[in-house]
Formats: sequence, structure tokens, C-alpha cells
Amino acid sequence: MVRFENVGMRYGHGSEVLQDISFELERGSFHFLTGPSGAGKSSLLKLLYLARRPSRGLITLFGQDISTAKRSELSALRRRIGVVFQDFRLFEHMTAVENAALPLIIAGGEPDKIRDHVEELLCWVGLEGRMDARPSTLSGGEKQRLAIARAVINRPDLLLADEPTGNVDPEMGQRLIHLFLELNKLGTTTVIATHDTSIVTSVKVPELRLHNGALEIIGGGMASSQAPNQNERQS
Amino acid sequence: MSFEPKLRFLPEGKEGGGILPWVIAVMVYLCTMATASGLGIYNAAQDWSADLNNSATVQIVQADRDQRQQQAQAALALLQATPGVASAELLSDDDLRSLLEPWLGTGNVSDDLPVPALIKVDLLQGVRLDLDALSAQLAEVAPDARLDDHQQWIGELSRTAGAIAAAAILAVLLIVFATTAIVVFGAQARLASHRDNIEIIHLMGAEDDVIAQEFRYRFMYYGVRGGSIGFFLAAASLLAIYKLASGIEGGLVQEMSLTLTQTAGMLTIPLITALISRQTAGMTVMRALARIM
Repeated sequence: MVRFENVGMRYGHGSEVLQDISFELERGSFHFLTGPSGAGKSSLLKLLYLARRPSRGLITLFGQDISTAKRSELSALRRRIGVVFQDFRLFEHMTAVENAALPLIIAGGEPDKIRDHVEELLCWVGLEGRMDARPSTLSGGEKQRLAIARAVINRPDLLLADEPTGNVDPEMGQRLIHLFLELNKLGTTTVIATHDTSIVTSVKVPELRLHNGALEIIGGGMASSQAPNQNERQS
Repeated sequence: MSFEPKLRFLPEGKEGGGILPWVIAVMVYLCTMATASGLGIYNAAQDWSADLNNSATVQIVQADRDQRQQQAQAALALLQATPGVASAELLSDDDLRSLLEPWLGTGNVSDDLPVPALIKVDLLQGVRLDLDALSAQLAEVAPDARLDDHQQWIGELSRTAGAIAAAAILAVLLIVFATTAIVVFGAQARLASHRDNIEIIHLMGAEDDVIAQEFRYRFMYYGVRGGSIGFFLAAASLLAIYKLASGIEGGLVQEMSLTLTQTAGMLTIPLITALISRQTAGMTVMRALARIM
């Protein structure tokens, strides 16, 4: 599904923010990406959601070498990735339904079915009464759930979330993590970047720990991390 | 609330174009006025040239009325017998007075004013006079005759009309260039102000062309709106000028009037402006998107 081999990344002519990163994510796996602020979590996520190319090394995503892929080939790969941004990045001029429907519209979904599909998902994340609300009128938790709904509406193969619990209270944080676990049960490979240790310790899944741009894999016990089964997660 | 599954990631409302449609309106106004002026002058020049190309004028510049009339009759007889001349007509005193009255005022042309006798000569289609030979023949029967085949005046008129038409074309080209530059800046400004939205759409997997399509749609709308306003104002100005100038004697307004084809062509200016706006914005966005991963 995802394979990094000796990947390095730098911004412009600066020093490397990621150094010799190597790991592999199996289909349907669930990982936390942890590390202190400035460790390179967001940079690693940018590589994963194809916002940046690596400065060196090899990235294989869905069996395709990203380092050498043509620009025109990347759009189709991006449509297989769902991203929950730390700052939500919702469209303020759109309603909740319109925001969540965007990936389906981009993917060329059937117009007649989009509304029903989106409403069903918004109900699932607990936004049934907020369908036509603008993001500016939503609470932090509601915005976060809307951002998650938008990220998963297309049933992505890879789901990435950057600090999804950073703007919500601990209880809501736990609920969101369980939401991600539910989505993972459906087969979506999931990577959650967080520095919230309580969240990480509450759910036993492998951890990709970044420190000063270098990666350590904890819980998987091997360079190629394995997805835990559900019993392990819930224990 | 209605839900339309369309990719409208640029906000509407106050940000919907701002001053851009109004700048486009100004450009279309100037373009329409320049085109109409250029075409009007071209039409008038063509009309005058066509009228004068197959005609000539003989003046008898003699102060003495009897001698003037005598020479005029002799010159008229010679001209009527000259090959290539379709007709020759000596203008009456009334005709001469009517020619002078617009300049001197009605009733101000006295009988003792030494006005040259005028013979209007119409030539057969395509005939060019041998000016020197005919002048020499005229000099024998009417020593005070002056032959003018209008070619010098037509040449000057043609050159002047050509220069004005060239200036009008240059003005239109400059306006098109300025409009294109304005749209480029407008599209770049929209790209910059909605960079976040565009980046998200891009990361969701939208193709460049799909993103550019939203800009094409918006800028086409600005072009249609601005173009229509500018064209309407220009049409109103031209109609007002036409109405004011229609009182001028000599048929100037009629000669400058546009043909049906030209008028139909002018109607395409707002449409062409909208297409320029659409395509320019699309190309600007495609170029900008190509620079990101």
C-alpha cells in the first residue's frame, strides 16, 4: 500500500526535515504518527498526501513510484487519499453538505446520488441537524467531524489525519478516534498524526515515532509495520 | 436549502469579480467607440472616393462675366465631344449659389460676386483622364479653364482615411492587450486570494482543467457582464452623436453610417471580450497550477 525507502525531504535549500525514512504500511493497517512539535509529522503527511515530492529516496503508493510519477498521474492517486487537516480547511462559503460532497463531485459521482450519500454520512458522524450550516456556525467538534466526513466520503484507500483531536475536548477526542477505528474496520489504511499521548496509549496500535526527522517504529516490532487486529486495538 | 453538485470553490458575492467587470466595461466602451469611428471614417472615405473617382471638375476663373460664360460654353462643347466623357454639365447660377450658401449664409451671395463657372464632368466607368492632354485642349478654347480630376484630393483623403483606420486598429489592439493584461492580473489575484481553496481541491484530486474551468466560467461571466455594460454605453453614445450630427448638411452622418455587416460585427465585441476573458483566465490558471506538484 505505502512504502518509503530511505526518504529524505527538505524545503528549498534548507537542511533535511526528514532523513532516511523507511517503513511500509499494509492495506487496512492503523498507525499513529507521533513526535514532538517540529519533528516532521506534517512533512511526512505532506509526502503521504502528495503535496510534496521527496528530496531523495523512493516512495511507492498504491504500487506506483511517486518519485518518478508524472504530474498528470498524481490526481488519480490523490482521489484515493482522504485527508483531515489540522485546521479543518473547510470552505466557508459552502454548507456542510456541499463541503462533504466535494470529493464525490471531483470524482465525477452521479449527481442524483451525491446528496443522499452525503446526508447519510453526515448523520453517521452526528451532524444530522447541521446539514445546511456554514462552517462558521459549527463548533470545533462539529467542524472536525465534517472534515472527517469529507475525507472519508469517497471511501479512500488511505486516510490521513493531522492532529484530529487537537481542537476538541478529551471526550470528543476519544469519540473521534473511535470513529477512525470504525472507518479502519471497513478496510481503510489509516495514519493519525498526534502528539496527544493519552490518545496513543488508549488505543494499542503501532506507532510511527518521529524525532528530529528520523523515524522509529514502535509496536509493530519491524520496519514493515503490521495492522493490529481489532481485539488488540480495543484492549 | 437547494444543493447543486457543482464544483464552485470560489466564493460568490462581494468577491465576485469586484472592479474587474467595470474595467472590462470601460475597455469595451473604448473598443466599440474606436471600431465605430474607424469604420465610419473608412466608409465615408470609400463613399467620397467612389463619387469622385469617375468625375472631374472644370472651373473657369475669369472675373468678367461675359468672357466667363463664353469660355464656359466653349469648354462644355469640347468636353461633351471628348471620348470617355459620359456627360458634362455647366452648373447654373442657382446651383453655384446653393453650393456657396452653406459657407456664406443664405442671401449673402450677391450676383456681382465673381464666382468661377463650374462644369461637372462625369466619366464612363473605369476611364482615367489624360489630364495634361485635356488641359492643353481646354486652354485653346478656354484660356482660364482649370481642370481637376480630384485624384490629388482622393489620394490625400485615402491616405488620411488609411491613417485613421490604422490608428483605430492600433487602438483596438492596445485595448485587447490591456484587457488581456487586466484579466491576467485579475486571475492571478483570485488565485492568490483563494490559494487555500485551490490547494485543497487540488489535493482532493481535482484535475488542473477542472480547477481552471471554474475560473473560465467566472471570468466569462465577468466578460459578458462588463462587455454588455460597455457595449450598451458605447451604443448609447454613438446614437446620441448620430442624433446630434444628423442636422449637419452634406450627408456626413449618412456617409459615416455602418453597414449591416459591420453593425453585426460590432455586436460580437462583448462576446469576443467574454471569450478573451475566459481563455486568458483559463491559461493563467493552468500555467500557475503547472508550477505546483
